[in-house]
Amino acid sequence: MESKGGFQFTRIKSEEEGIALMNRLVDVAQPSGVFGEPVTVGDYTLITSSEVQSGLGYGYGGGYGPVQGEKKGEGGETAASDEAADRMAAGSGGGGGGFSAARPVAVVSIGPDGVRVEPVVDLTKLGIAALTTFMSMAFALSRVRRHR
Amino acid sequence: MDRPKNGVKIQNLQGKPIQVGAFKVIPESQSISIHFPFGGFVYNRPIAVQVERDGTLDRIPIVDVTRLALLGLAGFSFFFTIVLSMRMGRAARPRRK
Repeated sequence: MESKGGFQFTRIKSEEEGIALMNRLVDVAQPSGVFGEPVTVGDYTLITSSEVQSGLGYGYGGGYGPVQGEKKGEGGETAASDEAADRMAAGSGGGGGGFSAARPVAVVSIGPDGVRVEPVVDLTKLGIAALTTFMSMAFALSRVRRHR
Repeated sequence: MDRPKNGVKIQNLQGKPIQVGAFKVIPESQSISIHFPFGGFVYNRPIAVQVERDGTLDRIPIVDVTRLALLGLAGFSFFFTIVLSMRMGRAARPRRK
């Protein structure tokens, strides 16, 4: 696997490798992909839980055909070489791409006072969404008032 | 090697129980998997934890506050758009004498 600019690239040489990659996607759908390993701090044990989304696509292809040879004639015209036409050549290639994203949702805290679930609020995401919503609403309202 | 079956699959799964002192915590998650012949998409989210202590079993749901707030914002902006378009339509209609 190659890594470049924060992305990871994998060469898929056969269908088997593509299926193996798909099966790794199935692993993401397991609860272990959502809940982290328990971490103990003092009397408390914390388990993080996140929302995970992952996707991938891949493709491959191949082909074969006769080797096209060229032979220059006396008058400059070209003709396929009989010898070369008997030979066959083949080639194949493949590639894929994907993404994965995770966002913390809550922390499960297990302590002497019991088990509690503390939500994790993504204020940056909410702030950007609220700002965009209210700005577009203000813009729409100002246009309506201008048309009156 | 078996290829995952194509199509949409929604499933609720339970993870391995985690024993911490007297508590036994069982995580629960919900996954939505979409598989194509040459690719796929998986969305997985935590839904609850089951807590077992002294033979009693409690289920504590995990609420995604950020997602709820985003849905609320989307609903509010949708409602605002409907009200505004209704008011614009009323203003554009000629008044009867």
